[in-house]
Amino acid sequence: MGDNLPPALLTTSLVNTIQIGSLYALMALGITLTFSVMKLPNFAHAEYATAGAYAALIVSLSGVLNPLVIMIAAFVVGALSALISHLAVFKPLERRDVSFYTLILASFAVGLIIRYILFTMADYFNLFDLRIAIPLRVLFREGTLILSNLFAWVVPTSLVLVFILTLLLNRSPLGREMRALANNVNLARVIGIPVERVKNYTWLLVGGLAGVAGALWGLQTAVHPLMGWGAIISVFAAAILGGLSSFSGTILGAYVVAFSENTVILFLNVNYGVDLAYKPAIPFIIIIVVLLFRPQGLTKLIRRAGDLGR
Amino acid sequence: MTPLLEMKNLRKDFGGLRAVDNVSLQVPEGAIIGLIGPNGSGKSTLINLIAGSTDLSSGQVLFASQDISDLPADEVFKLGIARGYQEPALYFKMTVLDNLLLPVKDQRGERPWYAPWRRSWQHEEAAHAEAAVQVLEQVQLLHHYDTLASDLSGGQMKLLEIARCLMGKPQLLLLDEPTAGVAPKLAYEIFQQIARLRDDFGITLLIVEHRLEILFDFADYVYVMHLGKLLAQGAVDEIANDAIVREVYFGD
Repeated sequence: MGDNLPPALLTTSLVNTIQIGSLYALMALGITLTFSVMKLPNFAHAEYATAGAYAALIVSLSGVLNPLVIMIAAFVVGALSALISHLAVFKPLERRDVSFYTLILASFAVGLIIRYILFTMADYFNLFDLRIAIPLRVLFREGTLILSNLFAWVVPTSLVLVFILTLLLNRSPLGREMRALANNVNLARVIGIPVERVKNYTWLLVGGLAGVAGALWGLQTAVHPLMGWGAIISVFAAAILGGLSSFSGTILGAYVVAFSENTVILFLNVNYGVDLAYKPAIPFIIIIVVLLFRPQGLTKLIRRAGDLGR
Repeated sequence: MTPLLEMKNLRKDFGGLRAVDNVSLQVPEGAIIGLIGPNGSGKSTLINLIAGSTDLSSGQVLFASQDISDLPADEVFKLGIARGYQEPALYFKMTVLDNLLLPVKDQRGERPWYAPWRRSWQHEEAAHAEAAVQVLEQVQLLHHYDTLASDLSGGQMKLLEIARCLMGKPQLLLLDEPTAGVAPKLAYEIFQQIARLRDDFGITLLIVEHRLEILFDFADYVYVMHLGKLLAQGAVDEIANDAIVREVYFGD
């Protein structure tokens, strides 16, 4: 990075990159998985994260402060919202053989519905901008850089979940069947793979991981009905960087997006006076550039075992 | 004795085209039945109708006296009817072994609450892999177990497809041109293995085939289709010497 970027700012931004990037990865993998297995670019995905964050918040407000219990609650609520949106909306639509575009619009609608259910609930119980109340402890302090126990929760949890999901996909019978569905769903049906069941399982996994991502997000910032929606473009940018088909590409994409949003913008700000307010434009720029020049994403560049369609 | 598979007055229209026109045929248990006819005569459509991949326009399909006319492909498969395709349909980006493990029913490791705990399903997986190894031995593909399906030769792909059918322990196997695009020597071997499936495991076979010289060596009974209709049927030597069949098929 440039000589003009103060080291303290650089380190803080890099820590943010790792933290935010891990959360993006957790959500973007879900989008890649729904897109590959279900052929659905799901814009409601962000709301599973918000639902998970609210589940975590409510559990923590009820006095349970064990982070593990909080994460499990977030997983369950995220998983159920995903499964319900599949059973109530996406599956009936698929049965009617609607077009790809109808499904995209439907996913926007599902997102809106979940978001405003959460809004109504938050309004009624006055649950805006609250932080999940796990007590804060400072683990490490060096100049302006402060690492709290939240960092110790967010990063390892996301990384471990990403790792487990990758193993699951590549090494387990469930993953084998998910890869088969991603590859050729008609053949899957003919050879007796329980297609509907595998789809349900996929939704549970994807929604659960989004829920946990939302809870981790709520740990480090605050819980708000728009928090998921605010991240969805960044998360899609990460998934598109992965070509919407590659696991390793999506993970790398998540960190690239987080790096651009945290470190690159800071570098541009310090050196060229670019206003930090342009930060939200970064994921859009990434999406446009990738779709124009490299629609297959980073897949071919890395070629690792994580690809769904390897 | 009632036949294992019975088709009654099957009819299939694609728009204005009648692809299968009032076809009735019977497949007795343990038989190898040939289905021949020029291109476009409706043979593959007939296979699709039985397997549930295409909906019937009218008629009835009975399997072991059960009406399967309206069942979707996966239900038909569960009842014990497996099929192969003219163009082998495989998961080309997976290994031979993975291709065989996919159709195994009710795997523990396909449930998300077991899947992350390898220990909970690896025992069962090993047993399935053992079954797959036996099937691979039958079709002589064992040394290719770790090969990507896309790296197999055309004939080996056909054999892998048959092996996958066997994993489901089918009673009836529907094969659509099992030797299409396969070298003549291997084609004969494929048929020898098909015959062994019948002899050793009692699997009944309905085979669409263009290589009559090989089919006639193995089939018990042959149906001839032409323009969607059943043109003739009979034992191999009757069909081989039937004047009408020769005219339609060979243009004699």
